[in-house]
Amino acid sequence: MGNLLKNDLCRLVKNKLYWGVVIVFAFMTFYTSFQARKQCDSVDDLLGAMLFYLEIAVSAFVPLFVVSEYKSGVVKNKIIAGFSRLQIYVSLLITSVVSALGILVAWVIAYYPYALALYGTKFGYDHITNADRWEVILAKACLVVVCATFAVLVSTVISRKSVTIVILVVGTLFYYTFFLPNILMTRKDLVLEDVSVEQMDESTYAVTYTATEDEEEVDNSHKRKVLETVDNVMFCGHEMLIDYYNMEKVHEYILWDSVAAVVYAGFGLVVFKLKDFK
Amino acid sequence: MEYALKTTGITKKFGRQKVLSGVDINVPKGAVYGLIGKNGAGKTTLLRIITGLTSSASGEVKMNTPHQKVSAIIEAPGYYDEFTVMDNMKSQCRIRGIDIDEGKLSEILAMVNLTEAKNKKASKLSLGMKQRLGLAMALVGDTELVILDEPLNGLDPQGIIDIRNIILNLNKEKGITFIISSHLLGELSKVATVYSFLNNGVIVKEISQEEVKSSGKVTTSISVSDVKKLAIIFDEMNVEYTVETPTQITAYKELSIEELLPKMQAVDVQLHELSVNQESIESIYTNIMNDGAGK
Repeated sequence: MGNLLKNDLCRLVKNKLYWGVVIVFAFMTFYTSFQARKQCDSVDDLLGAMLFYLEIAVSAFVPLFVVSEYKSGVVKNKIIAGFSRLQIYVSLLITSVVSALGILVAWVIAYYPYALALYGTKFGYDHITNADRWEVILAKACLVVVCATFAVLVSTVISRKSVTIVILVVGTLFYYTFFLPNILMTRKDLVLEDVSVEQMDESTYAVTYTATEDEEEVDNSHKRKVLETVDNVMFCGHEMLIDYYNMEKVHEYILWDSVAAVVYAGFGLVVFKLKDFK
Repeated sequence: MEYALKTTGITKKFGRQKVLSGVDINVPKGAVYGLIGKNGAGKTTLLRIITGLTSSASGEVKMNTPHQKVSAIIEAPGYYDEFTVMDNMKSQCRIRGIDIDEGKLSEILAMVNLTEAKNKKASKLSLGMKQRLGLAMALVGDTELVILDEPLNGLDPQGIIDIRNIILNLNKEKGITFIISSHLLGELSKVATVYSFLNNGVIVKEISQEEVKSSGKVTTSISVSDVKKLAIIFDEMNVEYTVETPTQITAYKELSIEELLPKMQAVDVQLHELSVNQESIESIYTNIMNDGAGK
């Protein structure tokens, strides 16, 4: 298993296309952060950005990596060398997840110095601690893992680069243009409780509050439940864009993402075990 | 004789269709084992079962060779297109858990005549070179058993000669056992030491090169001025024969010019041509397949 992982990771490191994706993604981070600088006024405001590009990058690269492994016939070499299909699949999955996390790291590296240069250490939300901010990044990492696991599953089922990429990219676009706006339209308003304002100096005030969802608001609740369920089972965590300051939600997304990743990996393994490698 | 690989009762079905039924093969160590059969006979399926790429419904594969020392090219060699020849060799080392020794890898590449192409991307290689790269990758790690499925398919004449010579050299110099499936009988007969005939999923016959030579029928084709007089000579010698044309006769025995010429001169028969023919692997194959069709 160690040998397989070593080989797969080595192949990833030597893959010029991968580094191309990482560099393009890092530039995209700079670009979108620059574009968004007028709407944002703190490091926290920018934290939710880039999920869309992250998913597009993973959806485009992982199928190329996985399907070319299948098409190259090297999987046969691995089976002949005595490795089980479970070992081969797990190694390929880990490498794909590492590739996706590498893109996330490129985002962190490209984003933080830029955001800190732009806003200094102004973070924006007092109720979020630094530990919370790391949890938000962890939630993003979980989302990336689900995205990679799902991409490996679809690549294994379809085994054709172009078709897989089109399905994943169009799916992501569909999510952002149709599904996400629907979730936003049905979300419950937040009720602010225990609001207190403290004057820090002549022109600065610190506002603290507890935000909870309006339990009495029932409009669209059924539609929202359906959408939420699909969101949880499929690529969840997108609402972090809006609710990332709600740490309860962030924990929920981490949990759902972990479950979804395990389910996709399980399905992928079943398909891989049945697959006939020519 | 010590065996490198044995199968007993291998059976495989695709849906309701039985592709292999109770296949038993016995591959001696150090042999070049030729698996012969027409397209669809089940050769590739059998090799896929042996290498673990496909499971069988029943039966057993016994290897007298450590798994790490078994390599195979089934249908097409497996390599990364984006890697160079040398990088592919290194990748194979990593998969097999062997320390990367560039000197040793270069030696293997030299064996398959790929030294000059070692920094070339695999995607840029010709079909013959790709096949040789697959063979080189199969040899990484002191391989003892190499399984090749139709290794000559699609190759040009030079490519066929190259692969054939590499197989012969590796078999003689390193004692590597080969299992080669092919429907190119002429080519296979130049390298194989044991033949196995697979027809409709059944091994019809397993025969060594020596057995082909010793049991194979020998005929003598003779072209003469007067067939009738030669027929009388054959009757006196108790030799079975068939008159093909007024000037052509076939005797079912190996006859030499020294033996025949004095007798022919005595009855004034002129000899035009004499050739001794050994029954070839092709004719054995044809007979077996015809028998199979008859059944």
